[in-house]
Amino acid sequence: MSFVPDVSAHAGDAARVANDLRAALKELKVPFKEDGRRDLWVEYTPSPSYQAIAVRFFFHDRLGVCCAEGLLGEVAGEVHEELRMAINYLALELSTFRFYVGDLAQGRGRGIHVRHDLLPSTGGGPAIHPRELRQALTGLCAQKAVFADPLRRCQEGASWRNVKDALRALK
Amino acid sequence: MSSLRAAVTKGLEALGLTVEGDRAGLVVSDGVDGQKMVVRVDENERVVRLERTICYPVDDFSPDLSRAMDWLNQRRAGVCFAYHEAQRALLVATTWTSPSRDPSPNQLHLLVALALEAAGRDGPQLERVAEGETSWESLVEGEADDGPAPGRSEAADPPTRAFAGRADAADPSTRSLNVAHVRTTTRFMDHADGPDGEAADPPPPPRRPSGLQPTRRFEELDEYAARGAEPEPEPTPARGAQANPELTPRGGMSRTALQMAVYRVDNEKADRVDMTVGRRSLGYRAFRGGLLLALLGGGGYAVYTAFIDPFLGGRGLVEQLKGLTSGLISQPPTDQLDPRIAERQTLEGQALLVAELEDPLPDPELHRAYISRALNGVGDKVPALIEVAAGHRTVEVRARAYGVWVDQGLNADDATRMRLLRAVVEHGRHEDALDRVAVDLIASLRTKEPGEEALIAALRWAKGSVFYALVDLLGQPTPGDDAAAKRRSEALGAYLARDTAEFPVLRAMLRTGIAPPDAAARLVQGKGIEWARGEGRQQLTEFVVENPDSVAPLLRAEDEEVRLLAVELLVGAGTPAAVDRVARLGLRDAALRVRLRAARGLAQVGNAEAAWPLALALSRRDPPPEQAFVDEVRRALARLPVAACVAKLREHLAPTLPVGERYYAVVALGAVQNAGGLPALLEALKDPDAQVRRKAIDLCAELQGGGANLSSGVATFREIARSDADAGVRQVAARLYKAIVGRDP
Repeated sequence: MSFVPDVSAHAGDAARVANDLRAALKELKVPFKEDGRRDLWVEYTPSPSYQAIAVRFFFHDRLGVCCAEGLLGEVAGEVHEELRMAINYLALELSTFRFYVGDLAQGRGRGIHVRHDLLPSTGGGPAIHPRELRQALTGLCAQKAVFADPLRRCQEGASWRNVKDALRALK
Repeated sequence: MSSLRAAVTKGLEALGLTVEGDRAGLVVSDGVDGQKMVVRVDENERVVRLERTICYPVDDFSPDLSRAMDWLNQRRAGVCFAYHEAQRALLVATTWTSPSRDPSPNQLHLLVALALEAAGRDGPQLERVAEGETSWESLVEGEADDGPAPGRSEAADPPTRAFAGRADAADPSTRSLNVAHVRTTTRFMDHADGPDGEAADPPPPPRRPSGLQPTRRFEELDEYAARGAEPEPEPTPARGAQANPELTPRGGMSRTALQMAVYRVDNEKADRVDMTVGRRSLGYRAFRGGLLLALLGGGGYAVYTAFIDPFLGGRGLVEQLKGLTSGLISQPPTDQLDPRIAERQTLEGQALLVAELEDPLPDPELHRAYISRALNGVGDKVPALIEVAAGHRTVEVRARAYGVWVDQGLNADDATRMRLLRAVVEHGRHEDALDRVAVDLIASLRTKEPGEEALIAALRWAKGSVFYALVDLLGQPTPGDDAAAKRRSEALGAYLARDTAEFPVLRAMLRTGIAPPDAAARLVQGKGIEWARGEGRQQLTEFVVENPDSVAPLLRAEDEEVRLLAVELLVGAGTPAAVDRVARLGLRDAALRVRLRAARGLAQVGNAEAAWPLALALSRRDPPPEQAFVDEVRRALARLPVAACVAKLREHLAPTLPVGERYYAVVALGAVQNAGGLPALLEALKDPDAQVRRKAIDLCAELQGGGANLSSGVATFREIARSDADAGVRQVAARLYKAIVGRDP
């Protein structure tokens, strides 16, 4: 039997995953809001010593892959060469998070985002387990704490190796 | 094989994929296009990452490519695009992670399918962007034109089938190897109108390998030739001119004229010049002066470095001057300068310090110079560094500031150390797991303990881990200095309310040797018996030495184990006061185990003061003692120092004392080791009470039966056998006399 890729059949339904996501957020006692596009917004911090991060949960193409996206900072003007290098470095080094320069809501310009995508489980139990959700949110907050400042400096012209140093310090 | 890796392998194989183990992880192949995918399993983090090459080779990570990848990373769910410079490839990766669950079959399917879908849908477009054939905007436009992604539609043939034609390739590449599909791009065309334009307007001649343009020598020669005054000779056909029309100038100039022009160019001499003008010029003089100064300065610097600087105690002055003058005197060309240097030049004092610590210059010398300059400019460097080391929002910057703090030797002074520690606490940095300043400061306090007053004063503002570290530092024994122990204990006692379930304050007080009377009882009840018998035993024992009454509540506890522990602690203390508590309370305990332990403990201590309590325990009849306890008490009496023990018991043989007391003393004397109690027993044979005398003579008979030598009592036995008022006593005494002497008394 050869492998036949079929994403839509295995990613689950976005509505069902969103329900499980809401249940998980309630279990974690994380308050959330829903906007007009039915995206969920939360403010999360694992401890008072970390600055909270605003995270948006959304689904692409009505598929059940849940995208958790946080904003690290806005980018003014062209993306600096060093920032490009830094983002690509992080894409290679970090397994579970990806950084990119993307558009902000309502055309307010562009910003540096960090994202973690949760693959839903359709094999029984909740599609997204509360522990997985907490791990994702904590991870996003930690990424912001560690990399927001070095990435901002990269956009200002500092070397992308600042990000490398920050990652080394984290490890 | 590890559990997660095994589960992933099994799950991928169940999906019909070929899985092979590799040093880097697992190599997965779908058997369709032959393209391999690498799966890395991190057991500790519980992360599964699948990577697939989607474009190779890519030699340049261009801004357009970066923008395209940014766009895709934002728009694609579950996949991450990245450029791997070492592999010269674009990668797409999918990731699964969960702290508690194993990946389900659909999640494993998604891991592979998302990567394949991305490779099929986005790979070719990224390849075109990487080649420079199109811009990243075409991705956006293509997305708008194509509508839903093919992999997510109901397409019968999944996108990765497009690679099927390359299945037999030895080394699969994402680029098409079909020659018929080689693209001719505008990048190789130098004219806007294409081939026709190039034909009409040929491009300039190619450069030489050196990169230089061809010289204009022949054109200049033409000019010379045209201006030559030579009469034009008769035109003669020349093969060279015909063969190479370039050498025949327009206007019919002859080859001879050309040769003469060459000669004139080669031999043309400049007008005579005065060679001394240069030396007399202002520029030359300035150059010479500068050179002289450089030589003198260099020599002076060498002399200073080699001979003077070592006597000035190292590099201080030179380094300071370097730091101050590097930006003023020896500025390199501005186009080679780090832009941050220009920014630093505009800053002073605290602003410069913060800027340099936030974004340190890569050159360590420059970094040190700017730090030095900043500290010179702030006036008092202590508050300036404290502000950054404790107050800055970034962990790294705080760590750098603390590094400067240490380099400046500020940790050598107790007052400055405590100031920094206080600032760290006030900013709550001691609660930040990533922050190292508080940890290092406390470590330095342990290495070099500050004064007692500083520690006691710091208790007022210390919080959390810092508070308990200070408590730990204060809770140290001060041998020979009772006043210091009292000061420390009193200071700690004021914070007993902040004690936790671990009793750090109370334990610290115990270590000083001065603690509340119920400290031992509170600790045992709070920390448990296991702690008291293990980790806390030494502290408690030392405390009991000074405060034997502190265990009194334990000796009255309902729990038999607690009472047993109390006896053990008192025995461990071994002081007369402790022996007294064991003898008075332990030997009277309701539980046999406790009494046995008390008897053994008294024997272990070997203090003769225990003789009389043991004697009482041996004879007590309310309630009657168990035989095991009687035996243990006898053994304990036998282990006490003989002379001291007998002396103690003899004190209770005085005729003025109650009969019962004399009787108990006699009983105990019979248990003294090696018949050591015989002299006192012989003395007891003259007791006015017949019961006491009977017990004494019976014990003598027991001793004789046990092989003891009673010859020293022959005279007494004879006298008793003849004159004692009690017939039973006379009879036993006569038997003993006869056994020793061999005849009747």
